[in-house]
Amino acid sequence: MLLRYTIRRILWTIPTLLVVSLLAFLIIQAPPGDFVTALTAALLESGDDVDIDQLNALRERYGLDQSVWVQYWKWISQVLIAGDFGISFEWRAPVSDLIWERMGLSVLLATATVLFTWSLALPIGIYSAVKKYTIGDYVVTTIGFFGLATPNFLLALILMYVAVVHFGTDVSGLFSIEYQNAPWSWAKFVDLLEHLWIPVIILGTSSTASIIRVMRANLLDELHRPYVVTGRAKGLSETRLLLRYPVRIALNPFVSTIGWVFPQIISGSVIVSVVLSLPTAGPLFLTALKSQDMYLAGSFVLLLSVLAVLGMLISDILLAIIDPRIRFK
Amino acid sequence: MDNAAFRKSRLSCATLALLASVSTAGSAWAQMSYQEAPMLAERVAAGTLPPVEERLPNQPEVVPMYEGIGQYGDEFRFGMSGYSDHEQIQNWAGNMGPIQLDPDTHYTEALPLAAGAFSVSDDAKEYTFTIREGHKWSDGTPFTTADVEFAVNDILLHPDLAPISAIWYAGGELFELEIVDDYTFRFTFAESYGDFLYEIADRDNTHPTFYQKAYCSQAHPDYNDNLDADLAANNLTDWRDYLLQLCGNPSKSPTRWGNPDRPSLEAWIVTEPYVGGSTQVILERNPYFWQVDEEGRQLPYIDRLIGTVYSDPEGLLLGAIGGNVDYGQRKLEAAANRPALAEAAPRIGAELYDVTAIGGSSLWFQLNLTHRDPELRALFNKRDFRVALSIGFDRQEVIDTALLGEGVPWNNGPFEDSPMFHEQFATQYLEFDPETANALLDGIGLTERNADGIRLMPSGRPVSFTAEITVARNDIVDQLEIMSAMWRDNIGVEMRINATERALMYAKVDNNDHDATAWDDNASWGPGRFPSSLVPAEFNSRWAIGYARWFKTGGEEGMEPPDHILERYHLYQNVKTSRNFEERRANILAMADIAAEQFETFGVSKMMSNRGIVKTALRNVRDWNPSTSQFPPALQRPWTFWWGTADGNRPTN
Repeated sequence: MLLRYTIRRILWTIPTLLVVSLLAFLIIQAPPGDFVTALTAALLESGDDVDIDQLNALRERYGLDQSVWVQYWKWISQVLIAGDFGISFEWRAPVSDLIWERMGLSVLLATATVLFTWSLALPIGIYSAVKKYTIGDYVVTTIGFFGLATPNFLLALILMYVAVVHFGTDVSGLFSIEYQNAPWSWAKFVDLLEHLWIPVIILGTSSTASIIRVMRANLLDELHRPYVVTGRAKGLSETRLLLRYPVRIALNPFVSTIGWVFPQIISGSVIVSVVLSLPTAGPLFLTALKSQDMYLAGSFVLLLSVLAVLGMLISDILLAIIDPRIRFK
Repeated sequence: MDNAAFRKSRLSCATLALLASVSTAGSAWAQMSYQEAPMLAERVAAGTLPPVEERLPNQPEVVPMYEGIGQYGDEFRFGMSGYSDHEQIQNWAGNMGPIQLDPDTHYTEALPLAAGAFSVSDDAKEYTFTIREGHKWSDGTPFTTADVEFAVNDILLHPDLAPISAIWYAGGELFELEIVDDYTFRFTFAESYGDFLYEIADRDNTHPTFYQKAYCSQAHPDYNDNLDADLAANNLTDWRDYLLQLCGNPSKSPTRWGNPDRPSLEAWIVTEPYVGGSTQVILERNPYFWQVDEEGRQLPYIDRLIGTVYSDPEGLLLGAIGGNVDYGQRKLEAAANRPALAEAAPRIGAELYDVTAIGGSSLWFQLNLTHRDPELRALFNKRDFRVALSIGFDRQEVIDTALLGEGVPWNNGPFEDSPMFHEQFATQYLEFDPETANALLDGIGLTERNADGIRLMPSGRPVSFTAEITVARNDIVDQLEIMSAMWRDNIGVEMRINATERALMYAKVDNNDHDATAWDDNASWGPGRFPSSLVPAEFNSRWAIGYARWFKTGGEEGMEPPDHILERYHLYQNVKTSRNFEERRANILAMADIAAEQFETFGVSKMMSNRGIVKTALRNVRDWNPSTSQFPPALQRPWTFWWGTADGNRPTN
């Protein structure tokens, strides 16, 4: 049953991804102009004279004078047949090289953030549900609302400014200058950890807050159910009762949203990454969109969609496993 | 080294710089003894590098120091804003074209660079360059005219890379390259072409001395028989991409800094490459760099350039006030950053740096004189209408409000201290005089007004037009809004402002679909810069896109220009073929006479100077640098920069 369901879901992802890739390509193409226009504009803005003939030759060379459909077909057919995502206009380098170079740190940052968020938010959520309307509940709830209300990037800006002006340290980036491009070593890893906590906390604050709220609400729904009363009447210890039954059910919404975490590896931290100058994939994605670097941007969108579809698949399967009430129809 | 020899060598290199002619003063160098940086001395001692005498050319370029002989030091830091700011690397690492312009003569004279000597024939048709004997690439192999021949014939002129810039043509004909011997090469043009000296000195046109034949020919179809296999191995399909990956190109491609193996003639070579996603680029001294100071110390003084990629201009600013930018102007110089930089400067041992405008206007207003709509075109082409607009708004008020009081009413063109200054062009019709403006408008038949007080054209349409501008230029939008209000209230003319995404604006304007537009203009009218306000020969002249198209297509497309424009096209051709600066100046000023008479466009205020930031301990930095990217700090030869600290190393904050 589970196997058939899984296979069917996987097969469905293929047409979904194709449609998404087409839409993505069309949307990126929708603004007027193309890579060459954006390049021209950038040159003009920095005060250069621009040789229009040379730039037009570039347009021809990159195939930008062809119709959107032709461009899409040239790209997607190579992706499907050869796994070749094309060449980035701006960097004249294979797109796959550019993306993979940054994905590692993106995954690391996203994983660290999720772990940080969950390990902090879930216990607090349980605590504030169980101890409803106590001082402790009010304190964590207030902090939670602050976290929800503060935009991440603003927090990043303030933290950076304070660090530079008052402490004379630079909190941006993920490595110190001497370790930036050094090969991996224990010292480099330690250096990474020294920098990583800043973006993790900044990225984690708002989601920690929202998870606390969701967990609290979910658990409150469950705490007064008859099965809890029954369990307690049968003499289960409070902790065991709490963790084994209501908490497990209250976790359902989190499992079903694991799917959303995957695409956030790239897109969730774009603005904070830009502000903090983090070497993750987000800023490269943003630059590609801004300079209309079609193949690079398109591949990012495709990757995002793959991650989203994959994430949803995983959370559906997980949900089916942990919650026996869910059946495949 | 004894003093007499020192003086002699100094004298001969000064003479060389002044006369810029083939030098025969070989004996002076022979007596010079050379020194090298400690980090290279270690490598020589370890036997991994030949001694400095063998690495330098027989007669290295002796650079006269601006502030004095320096000491070797560790590093220089700079910042970049985002991933399209690699020009910053170029600003410090420089471009080693055959020659460069001299910052100490206001960029009017040329200095030898990769070519140790050069000469120009009297008719300005022949340009002869001579490479130093014994000059080596950063991999230690000789740099000869074989490399020049490859770079010019096999790359610059390769049909797959066409079209090439117009600067390689004179009188409609391409240059001829003659390889005289291993060290001498000559460009010959069909007509006199005085500007070529300045063009070949420009960093975008350094092709002849940019590509090493042995290395870059790997990517060339005529040289590499296994090219297809090599392309496939690198996931590429086009040799031009492979060439870019291996060698980059002299101008705008970021890939130039992406390959640590690329042999170059530059002072520092890439050790941590700049590729998509880099957060840092590091360049380290080129052991074969061919310039020395007056005491024979091999340059550069500073071991390493470290550039941090900040994600956006704000990140760069933060880096600067955090002390991580030792000298910065590009993307930092905007007036809005000044308070933050000024406040941080004393704390980080820095001071503000003058980034000086060399001419032009902060807002260059252009009506579209080749408008597709006949009625608007007729109106815009009436000189009195344009004069009325120019005197129909108060420039001082625009300056006081939108430019925070920093500005001087000005139309356009070079400033008073420039040899190209044209008083009438720059300063006519600046006085706010609504009465005269209204009289002029009445005089051209715009006497009727609608209920809103806007004048009506003969057909009954209101005198209303739209100025196209990009959202990226808030400063220009601010100025236009005040101008618009003043025109409506004082002279009954309506201007709408359409601030759009930049690509949309360019698409519209290049297609001649605009009523009016505004931009700033770094008008130096010097060589290497289009005099866009004088003659519509390029698409930068948005006041006459129709004429520019006509000119560029040889009369096949666009709109046929009137006689006074044709006359300027003629003068413009003469500018290019002038034999010397005086002749060139006369032609430019003759164009300016006509342009001033026609009064096609006008401006608001002088382009104002800006401030960057520089560490006070950094030596050999000139007091100012022009704000235009045409004269980057690289022309100051950053390899002569050194740290005036006790140990010669970069001061820590």
